[in-house]
Amino acid sequence: MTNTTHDAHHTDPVDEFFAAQRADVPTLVADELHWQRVLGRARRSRGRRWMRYAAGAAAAVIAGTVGWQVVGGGASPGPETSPVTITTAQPSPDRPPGTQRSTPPTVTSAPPATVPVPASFRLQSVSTAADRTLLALGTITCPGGTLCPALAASGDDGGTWRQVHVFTGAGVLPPSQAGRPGGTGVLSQVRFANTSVGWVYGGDILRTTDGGATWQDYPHAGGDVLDLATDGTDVVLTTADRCSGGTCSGTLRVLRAPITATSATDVAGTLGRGLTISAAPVSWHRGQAYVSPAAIAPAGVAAPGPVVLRADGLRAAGPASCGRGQGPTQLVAPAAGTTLFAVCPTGGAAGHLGYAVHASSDAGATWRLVSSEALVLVNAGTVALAAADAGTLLAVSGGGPDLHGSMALSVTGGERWQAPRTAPPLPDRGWAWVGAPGGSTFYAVAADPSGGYWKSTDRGETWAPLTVAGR
Amino acid sequence: MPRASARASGRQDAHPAVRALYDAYYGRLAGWTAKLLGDTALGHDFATEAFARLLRDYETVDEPQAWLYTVTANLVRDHWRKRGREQAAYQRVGQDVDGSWPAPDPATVITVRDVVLALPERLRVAVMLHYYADLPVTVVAARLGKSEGAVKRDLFDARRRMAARLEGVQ
Repeated sequence: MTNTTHDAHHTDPVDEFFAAQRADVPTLVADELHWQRVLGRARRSRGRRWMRYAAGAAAAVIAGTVGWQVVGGGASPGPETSPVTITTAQPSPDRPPGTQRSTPPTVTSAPPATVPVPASFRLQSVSTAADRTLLALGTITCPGGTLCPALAASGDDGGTWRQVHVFTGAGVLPPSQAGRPGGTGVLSQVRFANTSVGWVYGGDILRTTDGGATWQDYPHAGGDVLDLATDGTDVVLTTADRCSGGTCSGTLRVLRAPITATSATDVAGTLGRGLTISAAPVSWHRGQAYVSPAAIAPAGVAAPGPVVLRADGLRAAGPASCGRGQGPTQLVAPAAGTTLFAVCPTGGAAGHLGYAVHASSDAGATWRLVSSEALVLVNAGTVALAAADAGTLLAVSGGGPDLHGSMALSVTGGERWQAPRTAPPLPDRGWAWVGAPGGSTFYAVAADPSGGYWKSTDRGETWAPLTVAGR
Repeated sequence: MPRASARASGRQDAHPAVRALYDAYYGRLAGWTAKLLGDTALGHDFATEAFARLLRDYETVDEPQAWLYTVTANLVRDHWRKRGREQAAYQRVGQDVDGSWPAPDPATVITVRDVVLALPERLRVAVMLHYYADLPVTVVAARLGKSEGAVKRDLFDARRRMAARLEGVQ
C-alpha cells in the first residue's frame, strides 16, 4: 500500500513490529463460495432494511410473495435440474431480543417423484431419519449464480440420492463455518426425528412433516437457532439473540417441545446474561438432553458450563475440573451405552491443543478423569466429537485453510488416541463435523466444499467416501 | 487497486466492479482480519460483511480499499467491545493495574492483537488503519472524519504506549 510517515524510522520497534506483522498477513481463500456469501449477505441486508421500513405492510407482502411463489412455481426460473419445489425461507425482520419468532406459515408445493441431486451440490450436514434413511443438507447453484440450500434424501443408506427440496431465498454458510451462528435467513443444518418429521436450521428454522417435501416456519422463543437435537419424541433447541460475526450476545435459551408440536415457544431454561455465545450444541443420552455452551461471560462472571435439562430447569452437568478458562467443555453422548464423556481443552502449543477426557456413568452426577492431553488436535478453529459407545470416540478439528485440522480415534474409552488405521485424506480445511448414528458407524463431513461425506462402518478404523452430488 | 474511486466513473452496476475488488482484495483483507482476531472464520466473516456493505454503498465510496479496511477495523473494534476481552488481553500482556508496562520478556511472542488490544479503545482503529493496514495519515483522517492533527496526536500517543511494550522484544 502507500508509503507512510513511519517508514522513515527503520530501527523503531513499533515500525519494525508492524512491518513484520504486515509481511506476515496471510492471504485467505477468495473463492466462489465466499463471493456467493457476500452476495447473499448483501441481499439479506437489503431485505431486512426494507422490512423495517415497510413495518405493518410486511406481513401482507410476505403472504403475497408466498402465494406468488406457490402458484407461480412452475413459471419461475427453477434451480438447476428444474425441480418445482419452491419454498420461501424469507428473512425475518429484526426483532427485540427475547421476543418470540412467529412468521406466517410457509407453504410449499409438492416435489416431483424423483429429481437427481445436482452436480453442484456441496454437503454441509447429514442426519439419520431411520434405518437406511439419510437426509443431507447442502448448497446448490440456483438461477443467477447464487447458492441455495437444498435437501437430498437416500433410502438405501447413502447408496443413491434424490433431491427433495430447494430453499430458494435462504442464506448459506461456507462449510468451514458449520456450527457457528449463521444469522437471520441461514439454513445450514438438518435433523430428522423420523422419516416424516424434521427441521432445517442455522439461524432461521423450518419444519417438515412429510419427509422434507414441504416446509413450514417453526415459531420459537428467542432469536437465531444455534443447535437442535431430537430423541425421536421431543426436540430441544438452543437459541440466542443479536447474532453477527459468528457469535451471539445476551442470553442463551433452551427450548423443548414434542416433535409433533408446530412450534417451540416454551423456554425450558436460560443461561447467563451478557454472554458472547459462539455455539451451544445439544445432545441426547438415555432420555436426557444436554447442552454444552461455548460462551464468554462478562469480566468477573464465570462462563456457563454444560447443563442437563431436567423437569425443573437446567442443572450443571460437566466435571468441575474441566475448562478452567482454557475453553469450553463439550459433552459427548455415545450412540450406545451408559457412559457420558466430557472433553475440555487443557492448553496448547505449536498450533495444537491438548484435551482432557472425563467419563461419567451416572448421567453427569460424578466424573472421573480418563486422560489428560492424550488427545491432541491441530488448533484449526473448530472441534467436533462423537462416540459410538463407551470405548470408541472420534475427534476432529478443522476450519482453518492453513492448518488443515486433524482426526483422532480412541478405542480405549478416551485413554489413548491415535490416527485411524486407514484415515481419509485430510481436507484442506480439515473437518467440520462427525457423527455416530449407531452401531459401529461414524460419519465425517469435511470443512472444504465437498459433494459428499465419509463413512466408517468399523468404529472409525477405515473410511470410504460417499457421494451425494450428481447421484 | 482496480480503481481509486468508485464514484468517479459513476455507477453503472456495482456487481462487476465489486467483484473485481473482491478478486483483488478479499483474501488479503480476510487474512488481515484473521491475524488481528486470531480466528480464520471470523476473518472471513468480517471481510464478507465489509464487501456486502460495499455492494450496498458502492455508489458513495471514493476509495474502496481504504473504505473496506475502515469498515473491517470498526467491525473488529465492535467485536472486541462486545466480547469484553480487553481485561483478558491486558492480563495476557501483563499490564499493571496502574497502566505501566512490566519489563518485557524477550522470549514472549507478542501478536498484533495483543498490542492493539492493550491500547485504549479510542486509539485502536487509527492504529489498525495506519500501522497495520499501512494507510497514510491523511487517508485515516478522512475515513475517521477527524483532522490530520487529531489523528497524528492519537498515533503519537499510541506509539509511545506501544514502544514501551515492544522495546527489546523484536
